[in-house]
Amino acid sequence: MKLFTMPALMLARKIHEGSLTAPEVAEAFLGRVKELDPKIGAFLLTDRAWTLEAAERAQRRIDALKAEGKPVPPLAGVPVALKDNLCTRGVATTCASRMLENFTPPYDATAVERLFESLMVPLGKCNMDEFAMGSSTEYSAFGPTRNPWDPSRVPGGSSGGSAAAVAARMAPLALGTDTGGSIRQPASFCGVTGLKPTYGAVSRFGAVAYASSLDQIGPIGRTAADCAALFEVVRGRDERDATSADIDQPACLRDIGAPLDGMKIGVPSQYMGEGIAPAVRQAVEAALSRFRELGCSVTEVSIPALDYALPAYYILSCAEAGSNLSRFDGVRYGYRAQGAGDIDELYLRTRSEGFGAEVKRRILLGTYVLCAGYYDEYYKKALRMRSLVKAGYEKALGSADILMTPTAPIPAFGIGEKVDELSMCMADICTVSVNIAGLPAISFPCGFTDGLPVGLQAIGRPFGEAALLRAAHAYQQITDWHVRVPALSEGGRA
Amino acid sequence: MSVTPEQVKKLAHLARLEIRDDELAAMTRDMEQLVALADRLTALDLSQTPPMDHVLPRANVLRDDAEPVEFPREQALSGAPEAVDGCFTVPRVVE
Repeated sequence: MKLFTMPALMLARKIHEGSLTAPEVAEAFLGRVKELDPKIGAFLLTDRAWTLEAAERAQRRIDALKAEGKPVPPLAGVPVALKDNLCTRGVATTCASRMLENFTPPYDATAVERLFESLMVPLGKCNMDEFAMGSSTEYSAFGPTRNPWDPSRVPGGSSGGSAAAVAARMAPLALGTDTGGSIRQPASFCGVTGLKPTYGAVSRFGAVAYASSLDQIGPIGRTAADCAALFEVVRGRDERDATSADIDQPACLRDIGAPLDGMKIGVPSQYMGEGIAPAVRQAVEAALSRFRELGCSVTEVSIPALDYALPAYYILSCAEAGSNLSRFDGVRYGYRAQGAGDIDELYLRTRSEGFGAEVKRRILLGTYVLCAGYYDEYYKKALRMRSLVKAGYEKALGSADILMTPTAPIPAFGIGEKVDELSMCMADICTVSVNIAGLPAISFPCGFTDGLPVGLQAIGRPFGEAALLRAAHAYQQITDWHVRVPALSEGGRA
Repeated sequence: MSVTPEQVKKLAHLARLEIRDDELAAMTRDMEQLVALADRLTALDLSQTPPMDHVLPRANVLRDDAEPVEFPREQALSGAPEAVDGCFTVPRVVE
């Protein structure tokens, strides 16, 4: 087996055994990025010194821990690609925006700090939709990322660079962020596995904010087990994020192989009807049959509020974005327009020149729904709808252990194909409600249509990531969708 | 609710964004689509449902009353486009 095609946990095992070293693995992946990324555009930055120094440091520590007979962290020495909205000390963090093109954070995000503490190795910073606003990575100010399965198509978004890097075997693991589907939908489009954790499971400190009540950092990998391992590395209470949960989160990796016997799967009818491409529905139905074979029961459920989740999501996320992005004023960091005569002109020109069109659209919508006169009609109503969406999920997850839906209604679309706002929004129809309710959800590959991957989404109870990972893992033991490799990289086409 | 170019201009002013005249028609059309999406909620009567600001039932999260490790001043200013004498600079705001 080639080094690139090994799951992260296998790489870690080989590093632990001594048949590979962390610097060797890092060099190999850096070489692969250099070779393949000109065709894909998954990375905005790689920094050889940053990566290799971390790899050497990790190796020294692994050797020392082994010599002392102490436990070595489960992913020690494994490289991980980072979405470029995660702050990295001394390494540029652009959010794929002109606004932050020259921004170098003086600190690491908590999730990044935890990677280092677990002796993982940063591989580079990945492309994304500007400020994580988008579903295709076409809204990056630095050009689109291409889907490794078909370079004329998008990888999804906004964590499109992270998902494409993992799919093309340029990285064994990546971190993304998910505000309305930004981990799961690109995972689906790229044929990889992505976990959006429960709101509060992972500290958001150092993740550049889009919509603070919805954002979560999560892992993207090729297997559920790899995602479980990375999730366990980054999660947990952090004093610097008051919304990070102060609880002992259940083990995920330890029991990932437990059988699913008796697991009750609910299938919300709202996400299996109109708007879902027939090929996607067929792949999902076939996957549900496999879950029956694994001992699960599958029952249709109905959550009427889901029909209104998309408008509620746009209102809430844009309102929060409008507020969060007011910090970009050309004074403390980021881009600054030159030659402004007064402070108002400085703000106006800095923001107009620094933000791309999609970011401006969302700030304007956010401003609209928060305006006096519209606040009750839009923003307050969306907050009320959030109550209904959450209650609807709670009821459904009272009788079912987990819920399953398509991750996206369609497979990856063509670059430049979605030209209007509404059709782009529809790509998120099955994912946004999960963020509104703060629940965990995973996407994993469940088939192909015309050579393009299809993703299955499983949604769980709050802090129920273990059940989701267990279900995905069991499915990955009896299917091979997740081990197929795009033709672009070595190993042959599916 | 329909959106007019004048409204878009006003929103842009509130958000300190400039929408050029040649961008205005396209931005108005995009905003109309987004507002039409948002309007799917306006027909509903949700007056009996309480609003939920946040999914977590947490309030008043406190930390120890200890001075955290902060950045040195030079580091905090290191990302500033312009800084003079250890301070951020802006165009004159007081005559």
